[in-house]
Amino acid sequence: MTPYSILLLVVWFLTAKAIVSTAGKPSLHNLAWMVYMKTVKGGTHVKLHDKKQELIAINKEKKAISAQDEYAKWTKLNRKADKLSTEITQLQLEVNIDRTKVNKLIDWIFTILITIPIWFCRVWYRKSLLFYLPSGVLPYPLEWALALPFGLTGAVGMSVWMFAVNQVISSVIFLVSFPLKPSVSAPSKEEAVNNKNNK
Amino acid sequence: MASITEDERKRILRERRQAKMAKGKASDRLNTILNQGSSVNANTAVSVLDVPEQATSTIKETKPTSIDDNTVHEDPEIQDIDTVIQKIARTDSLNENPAQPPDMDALFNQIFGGASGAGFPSDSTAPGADGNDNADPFTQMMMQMMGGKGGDINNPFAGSSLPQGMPEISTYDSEMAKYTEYQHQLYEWRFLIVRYGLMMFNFIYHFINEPFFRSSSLISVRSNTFHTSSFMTWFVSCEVAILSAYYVLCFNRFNHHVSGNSWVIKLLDMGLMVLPQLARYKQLVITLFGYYDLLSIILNDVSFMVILFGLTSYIT
Repeated sequence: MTPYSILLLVVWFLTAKAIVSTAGKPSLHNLAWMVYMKTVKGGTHVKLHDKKQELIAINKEKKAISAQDEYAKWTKLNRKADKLSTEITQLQLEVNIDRTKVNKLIDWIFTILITIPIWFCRVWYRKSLLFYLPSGVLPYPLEWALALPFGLTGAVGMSVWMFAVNQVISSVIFLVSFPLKPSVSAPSKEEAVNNKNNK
Repeated sequence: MASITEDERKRILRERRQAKMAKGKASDRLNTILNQGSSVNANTAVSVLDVPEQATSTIKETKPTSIDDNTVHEDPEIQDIDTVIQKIARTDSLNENPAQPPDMDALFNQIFGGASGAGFPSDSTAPGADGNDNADPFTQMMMQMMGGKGGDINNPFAGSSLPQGMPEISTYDSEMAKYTEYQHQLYEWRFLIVRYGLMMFNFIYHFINEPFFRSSSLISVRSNTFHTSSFMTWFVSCEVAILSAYYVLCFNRFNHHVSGNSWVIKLLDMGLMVLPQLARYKQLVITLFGYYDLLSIILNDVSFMVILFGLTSYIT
């Protein structure tokens, strides 16, 4: 691999890692579960959905009739509802197991596609020099510091490159995400006291 | 025979049922239902209709928590905790004004009011807060230890005439902390745009105008030919201007807030309980945190410069 392709590969992996950590694993798990539910037909979750719908219908019917006037019918429906509730509990457990499996699969995918390649690059290319800085542009102490820990002075190695990429990616994410946050207005002491009094 | 309507039929059935129930023998009927019509009468359940009035009232009295006497269902499916608290407070004979719900803030103030030190404003009604002779000796000791020794660092109200309402102030403080955090981020965001803009402009300008201003994966760019570039001069000038502006605008304004969130300061605060002498180092640590903030700006800008050099190394 050429140094430039290694350089780009590291940028790609670190960007992916930053996006995953910014989005948060729980939200990605939820997304994966939604995709799973839409793509897999006839799974346990479909049965659970059907049973829940059935239970809702039975409960509606139960509420529509009088337990005293139509006792037999009401009892029959009640028995059916109890049976369905038991089945739903069982199915819910099975769905939870499925969900855990999907989450584990997603975690494994992230590990294989992001974490392991980053560590591989960190270890395998630790002594590789990715590029050389032009001479006479940066002061010697800075060139020396950028070559740490294994490079020649004036070159940039894997450790410094990863550090720089992480720094810049986090700044870019902040740059993009901050305007999306809701703004916070200055609180006033009088308002806080008035709110308290109104309570 | 004339046909009766559905409503009439229901009414007649209801009346018959009521007449049947008025005759008594509720326990017999209950046991018949429980045995499902079996001829062997094994159940000896007693209906609530047959239980004497006194027995029923005894059961009610021995109930551990009677929430509301007016409720139709003694054991409601869902109980709202607010309702429960209000009803318990209403029955409390010590409460001077039972019609009003209890003030949870006042309750907490009563609990924690005695432990408030110099760093926190406290309600004058709280025990030990007024500094009289009846105050808790531990509180007095803590107030003496904390008084005037940097205990007011995170408290904007320390030393001033404190407002009387502790809950209002705590709400105001939390809102102010959120506002300060937002303002700090806002300044950081603005500075980041300016910094990256300037760095980008500086880099592109030199990249276009100076032919030797190229990084490469080939060592040939490190030739012995001596070049002079104004890139670093402009870089350092921009850094100095940016850091100065950041120092003036943000350093003193947000320094306490930023360092207050740090685990080091929290650890130091815990240590202050054992060693009050640590208070003199707290200000120093806060200042160091501020300088670390400035250092991280420099590191971030150098990183951005390295990224630009790296990504353009393909061109050579």
